[in-house]
Amino acid sequence: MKKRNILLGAAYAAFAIVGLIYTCSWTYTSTTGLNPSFWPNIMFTMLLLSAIAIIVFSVLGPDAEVSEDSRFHWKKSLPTIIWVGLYTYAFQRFGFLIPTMVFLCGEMFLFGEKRWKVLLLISILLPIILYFLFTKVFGIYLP
Amino acid sequence: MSLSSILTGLTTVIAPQCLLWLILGVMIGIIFGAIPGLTAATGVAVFTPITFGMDFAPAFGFLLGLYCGGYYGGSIPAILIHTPGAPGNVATALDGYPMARQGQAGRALSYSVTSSWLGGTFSSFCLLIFANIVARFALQFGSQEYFSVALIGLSCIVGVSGDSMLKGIISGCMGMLLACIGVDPMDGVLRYTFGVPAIMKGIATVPALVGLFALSEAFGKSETTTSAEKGITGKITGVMPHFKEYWENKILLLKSAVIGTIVGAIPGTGPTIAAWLSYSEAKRCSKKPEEFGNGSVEGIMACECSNNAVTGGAIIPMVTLGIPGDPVTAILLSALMIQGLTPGPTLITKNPDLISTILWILLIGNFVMLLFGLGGAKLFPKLLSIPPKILFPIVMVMCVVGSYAVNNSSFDMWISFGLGIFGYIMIKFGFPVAPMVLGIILGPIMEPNFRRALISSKMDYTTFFTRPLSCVFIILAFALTFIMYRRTHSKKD
Repeated sequence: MKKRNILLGAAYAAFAIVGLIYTCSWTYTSTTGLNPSFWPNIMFTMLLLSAIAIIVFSVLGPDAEVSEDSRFHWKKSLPTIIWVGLYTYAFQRFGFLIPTMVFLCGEMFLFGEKRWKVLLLISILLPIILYFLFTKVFGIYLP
Repeated sequence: MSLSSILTGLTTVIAPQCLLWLILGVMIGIIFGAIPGLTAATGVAVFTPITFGMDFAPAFGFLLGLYCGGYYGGSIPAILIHTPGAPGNVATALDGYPMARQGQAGRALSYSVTSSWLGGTFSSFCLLIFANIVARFALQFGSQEYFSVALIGLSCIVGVSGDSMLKGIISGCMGMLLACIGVDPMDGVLRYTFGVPAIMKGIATVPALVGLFALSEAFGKSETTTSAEKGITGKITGVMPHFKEYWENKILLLKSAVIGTIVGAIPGTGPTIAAWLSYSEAKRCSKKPEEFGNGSVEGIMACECSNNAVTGGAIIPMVTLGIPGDPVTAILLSALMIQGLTPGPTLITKNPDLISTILWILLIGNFVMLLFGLGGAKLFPKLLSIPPKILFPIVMVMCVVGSYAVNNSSFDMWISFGLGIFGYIMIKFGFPVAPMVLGIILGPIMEPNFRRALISSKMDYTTFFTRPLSCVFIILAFALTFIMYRRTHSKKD
């Protein structure tokens, strides 16, 4: 846990430093007396101080076991994340219906549903129902 | 508020279209609340985009129904499978599950829904009484006061940060920084847009919330869940409530409802704090404190009553000040803006029927929740057996489609996706997402008011302390931070 906190604290500190440098480089000067960089600079400074505090407390404090819930199980979550990303792209490129059918079928399979009848039934019927609901009932255009 | 205004609200809400959406909202809310991993916040986030094309009453009927149903629904798995649907129902699990194990699951569910109804109804009336008072009071606010009130909301990051306040602060800062993207509110200069035209208007709130609350949860669930939870499987009996039991506990219920409403009205807090406060108070005053943790009726009543009393309380700062009372009202705030309404003190003065419409939605919504809770108790074990392997892919589709639907923008889907991954990683590293949401919502209130206050006072930083109201709010913000910090640490000890 100690290592994780130090790592993430360092990442946030680095992000805050980059943010501060970038924001301070703005040349615009406001006529009102407070520049647009004023507020983000406060936030980046708070972020930097908190990140440093996390690093310091992690170094000085006792180490704790990483709980099971906090562990990454990339083998299981990464395919889902990639699949959702592909779906988002396909939605944008080809519209709602077909990509949703393919996505649902694949995602349910990834989640462990193996009954092909259930896979087919839900992945064909649900997008049609949703399309009808969104376009006809909610009045929201779907591509 | 005039009687005619109250009656106008009633006629609006009992219109068939509004009533149907309200019933549907409560039903979906109970389902979202009852399924571990899904919460009222997730439900409201996922369904807010579909209210885009609706009028105010059906849209808010649906969302507030979801809100009430969701807060109650979390108690169902807490009682039946010892897995609270949301953090606000943790205390319910302490007594509800032991009661269910003793063969009294029906009674536990009955206490839960009836107390939730009582709490929700009480806070609805408080909303009616206090919203107008707060709104009239808030008309005197200047930039200094708005900044200070938002600071109270921000100070409550401590309450929603879980174990580490520092992680909560980082999360809150990230939310504030996200809110800085786009056109600067005072000078009109572009900030952090990097030449991308789609983000010139800033990060759209609803897709961001959908990503942080719903998609991140779904990504997390993909790691573990393959089958539905198993729990109490016996027959559910004894669901009908007995008036006498509630009358005997009237003081306890009243106290819990008051605690829930007050905690709800404090910006940035929520049902978890309310439920624990009421539970501790009930235990302190009980004649049978030894029963707490072993199936105490008072324990269930106290936490469920205050848990749902949060709903009415949290709406008070939302409609009168434009500041969310809890994470769900943060999302509801966006829904209000989708309706073309600007939350703040003038909202009520310009729309006098609005509060009475919300009041009736909450009253009827809570009553529908009671009916569903009592009538559907026998079905709840079946509800818990809906397989996550079917449910979560559907939730993911709703997230993507919902993010698109808000502005018909593909870019918003990517925002939601990106923040979903970010939220998932944050949760894994122990960073709570609720402070980030508070940052996204409160950032656009705090920054312009802070700058405006300084400009109007010729850069005098003491302006926040020399104005009495602003000073009181700042003291309150620090006091709340201190109290919540102490509470979190004493719980850890």
